[in-house]
Amino acid sequence: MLRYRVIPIVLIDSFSVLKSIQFGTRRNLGSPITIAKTYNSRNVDELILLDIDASKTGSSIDPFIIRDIADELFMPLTVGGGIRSEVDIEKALKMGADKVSVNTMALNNRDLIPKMIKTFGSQCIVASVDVKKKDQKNYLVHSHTGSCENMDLLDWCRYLNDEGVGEILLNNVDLDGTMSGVDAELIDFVSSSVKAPLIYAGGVGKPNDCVTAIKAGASAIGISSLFHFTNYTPNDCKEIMNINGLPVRL
Amino acid sequence: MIGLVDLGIGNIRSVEKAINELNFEYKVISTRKEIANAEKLILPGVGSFLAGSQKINDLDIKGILRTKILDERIPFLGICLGMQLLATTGTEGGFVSSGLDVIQGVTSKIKRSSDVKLPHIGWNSVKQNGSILYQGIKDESCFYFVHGFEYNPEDADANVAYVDYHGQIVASIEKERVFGTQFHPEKSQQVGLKLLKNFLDFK
Repeated sequence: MLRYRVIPIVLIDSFSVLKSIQFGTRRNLGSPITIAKTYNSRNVDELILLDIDASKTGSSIDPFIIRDIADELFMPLTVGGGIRSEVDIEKALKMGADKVSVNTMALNNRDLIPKMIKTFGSQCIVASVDVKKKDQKNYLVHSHTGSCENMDLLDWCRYLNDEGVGEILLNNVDLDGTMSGVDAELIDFVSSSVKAPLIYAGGVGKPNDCVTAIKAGASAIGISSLFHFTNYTPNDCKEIMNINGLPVRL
Repeated sequence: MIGLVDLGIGNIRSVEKAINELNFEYKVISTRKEIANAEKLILPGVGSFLAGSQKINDLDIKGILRTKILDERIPFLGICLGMQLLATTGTEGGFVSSGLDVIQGVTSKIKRSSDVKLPHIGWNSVKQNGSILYQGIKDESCFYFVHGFEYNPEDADANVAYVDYHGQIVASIEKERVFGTQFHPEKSQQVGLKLLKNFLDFK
């Protein structure tokens, strides 16, 4: 049967790896290639590489960074950051990416999603959705462009799902970088409403958080801080998941 | 000469990297003439059947591929879309398009009940069937799948291995010197590299 995935997320600002807290404060962590090499040697399930400034600056993730990182990996690579057009996607794939993550592009021009899917196939397109909690019960889509002030999360995820995106990457802005635990309610809320597999990211502070996330309905868990700032490895997370009866690849 | 057929859709770089890692020489090819000169063929692909079928038409290589595979019987490996294109036809969004028709069968969308996530994405274990592809690989090893469509061969002589995803999905196929994998060996770490080596070593 299908295994649950633990996916390290590597954030870059053009050329350096960094880690944010609540999408704000940043810490610089060095070379993406070194980090990719380490993850490959740890036999991880896959890798997500996101340039978090590209969209803001009107550029897109550097194709040569994609190539240099893809060259270190024999596992699937998803890349994102300012992916705006079919040309951007084609370039990313040619450089070695297997899937592309789109965020701002989808929000600014939702008609592009079905076009991308038609050309490249559903399995190639990951819709990345940043989410903030408005109050006890409401979640809103967050965007650096401020373009979705009151956009309901579920409406947006359902739209993406209906258009046929391959996966949804849900980034919890409030918990990002805090290592304070995952939002199981949010995971359940979204995963029970969409057919596409859900990759949840934001807040994992210990391996057991992965169990919580998966049991709440995620198909995969995206992790950044835990691996950058503690001694826990992806395998540590999978061991705990395995002990808790969740099929993983060990 | 090992020919890596580039349909121009998807990512062949990963396959190139894997072949390089295994120290085999190959050529990236896409014309009828180049295919005619190949002694072994690999057809990778990511994308829709429709797009793949269209590209084969645009490049006008259906004929030469069938000649090389069925008449000259050179070893052939189709990866993901490359395996799905072995089918007679593929149905997608109401359209029916033709495949290479090398091993009779149909490629169509995976259907599961509403609570099952689709596409089929991630690592899943393959129940091996004795194919040479799996030589030296532990049974039920995991390979990486990322697809929304599946190939269902109708040829009783084809040796098929399955993966379980709330029901069986064809994971790989072997018939004489024709091979196909739904999963991506070039993305499946060590077991994937071993599988590719088994094909590249195959005479």
